[in-house]
Amino acid sequence: MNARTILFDRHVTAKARMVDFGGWDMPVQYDGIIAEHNRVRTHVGMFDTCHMDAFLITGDLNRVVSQDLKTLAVGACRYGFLLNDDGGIIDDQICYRLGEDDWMMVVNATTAPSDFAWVSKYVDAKDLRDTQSKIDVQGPNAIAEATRILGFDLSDLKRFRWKRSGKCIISRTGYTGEDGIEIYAPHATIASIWDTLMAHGIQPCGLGARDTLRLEAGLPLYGHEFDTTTSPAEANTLRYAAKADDFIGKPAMLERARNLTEQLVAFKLDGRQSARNGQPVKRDEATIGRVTSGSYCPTIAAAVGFAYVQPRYAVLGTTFSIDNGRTLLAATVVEAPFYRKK
Amino acid sequence: MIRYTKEHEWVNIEGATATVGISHHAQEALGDITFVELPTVGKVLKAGAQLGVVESVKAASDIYSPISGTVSEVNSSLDSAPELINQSPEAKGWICKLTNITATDVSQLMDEATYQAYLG
Repeated sequence: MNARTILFDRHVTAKARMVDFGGWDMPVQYDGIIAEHNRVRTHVGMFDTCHMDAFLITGDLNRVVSQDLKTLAVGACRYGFLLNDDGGIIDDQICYRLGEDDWMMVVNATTAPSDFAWVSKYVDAKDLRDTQSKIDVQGPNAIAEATRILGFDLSDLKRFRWKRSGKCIISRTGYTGEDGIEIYAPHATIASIWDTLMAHGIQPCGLGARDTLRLEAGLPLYGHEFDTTTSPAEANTLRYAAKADDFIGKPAMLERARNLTEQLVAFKLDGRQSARNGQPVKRDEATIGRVTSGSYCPTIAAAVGFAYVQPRYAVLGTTFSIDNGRTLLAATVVEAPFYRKK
Repeated sequence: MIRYTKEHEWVNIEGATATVGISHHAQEALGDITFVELPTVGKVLKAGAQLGVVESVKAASDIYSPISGTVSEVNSSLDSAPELINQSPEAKGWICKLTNITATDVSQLMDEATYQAYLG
């Protein structure tokens, strides 16, 4: 049987459509992906992200992750990677500096077990799976609504900062391209916060909207844009692996940057028809790459996506076709993000 | 006379022409529809042949012709407003019209009561 979050019964009661997501029963949509997407862009929505995992870590983590932890203040958090010795991406993660030598590392759901095994080789880590859950509240009104309904004082909480409130850790972070927060707390506290938000009219959003929101905002997704065969060099994310200090995978990553075999690009299709993960990218019959994500995105009203292509085609304005098995869809390499909040 | 297929298309036969679309159940299962690939006018279709594609945010789904006939008209308003299929699957969200239809194909299809029972 699939794993269930503390909020599973609530999703069923709310008549969400449930799907398997990496071994978890998760809501893909409640009242409709586009309505949920638009709600986050224009007002506020909340997401069950309890399937994600977090580790409490004590010790010198700087060598294990790609982001610079030396310059990270207590009260701040920073995005980066766990790389293997070949420079391949084990996962993307966010490290929260809880104290001088105390960290919380937040990781993806499907990669959590392998992340934990990897991290535990180098530092003392404790998996919070059994004790902690998380929800995201996202949208231009997320801060105001969370303040009003939950009584959080978020007035001084800047982007990529966190603070404690009661049993919660609240960070001004998210995965939608909008303002918002992520709330970490014990399972029962998260369930009660969810109920309070629901009772005050905050509507839940599913993984479907989470995917269109993150894609539109140009945010990569592990398992699509990243996996152990790609490094930050190919994924155009070297800025999250740019610290002066050495870290695991750095030499291999830099070597790969000097000899790129493929590069991640953002593309926009000419029509409304979507390209999908795995479809070949072609130019004059020859396959030059592969699509990693693709969807119609509601706010920009266009079909967009990401693809890995041979480096010489990774140039803005380059045109190519995507073979969906029936037709060749015309696409152009464009700048990401596709959408930027006002 | 409206009839349904097991693949959740509907066909409404009025004399010598037929209108084709997807059922309420189909649009609900697909979710928000973002693109419709319409057939070409003049295309001759056999019953069960692929007629077009309907794409939602998450998936693409092939549409099959419930009966044999020739495409005489397509609902081009779906090009700019594919959401018409969600809003009105069995009226404004029609996909195409067929002429030269083969009436004997209809006996293979379900009437509304049978289709509802099929949906369970």
